[in-house]
Amino acid sequence: MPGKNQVIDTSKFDKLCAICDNSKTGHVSIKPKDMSQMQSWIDSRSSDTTHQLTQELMDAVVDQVKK
Amino acid sequence: MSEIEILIEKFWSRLEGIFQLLANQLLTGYIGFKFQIGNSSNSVFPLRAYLIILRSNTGDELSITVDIKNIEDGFLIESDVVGEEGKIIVDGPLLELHEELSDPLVQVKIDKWFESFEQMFIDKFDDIDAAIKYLAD
Repeated sequence: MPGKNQVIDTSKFDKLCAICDNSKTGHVSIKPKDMSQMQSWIDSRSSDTTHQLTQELMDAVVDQVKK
Repeated sequence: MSEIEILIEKFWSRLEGIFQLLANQLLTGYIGFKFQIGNSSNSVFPLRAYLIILRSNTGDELSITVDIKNIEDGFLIESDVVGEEGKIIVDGPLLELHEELSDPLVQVKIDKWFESFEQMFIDKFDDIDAAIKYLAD
């Protein structure tokens, strides 16, 4: 099944950081620099308001690729 | 307001209404499912609009997205229905706009794009319904 991927410019991150967590696959995790924000970020999924970390992530998307 | 800001505002207003109708139609018969409608923008995408269907707050989601992207000499409107991990369930209609935004042809093209977008949910209803049905909790 074809997939859709977001291209993220991690240099735009302020409160987020990208960490390569699997050197074989090159998989990258995006986490808050301040991990105490993680739970509120997770909890915001069911909220109508946009969490500041979600906003930062959306602002860093510079393209999308379908293949 | 600039011409693009006016276009985006009108486009979103129309799309938001369609998203509301779609959410009601797609979730008829489903109990406990949630949906979220919203939009964002950044320097590359003047509009990123979404209708997200969730089985639960922590479960899988199905996203119906419409993006307006800046391209050279114009704009690209893209749409799709996407499941977990970016799996494309349905690829929606595309529209490239290279005309001046004041050109009446732009509205004609956008109207036609909306027709195709709405038709997609009639033509692909079974695929989308199956994707909703099998969302993990």
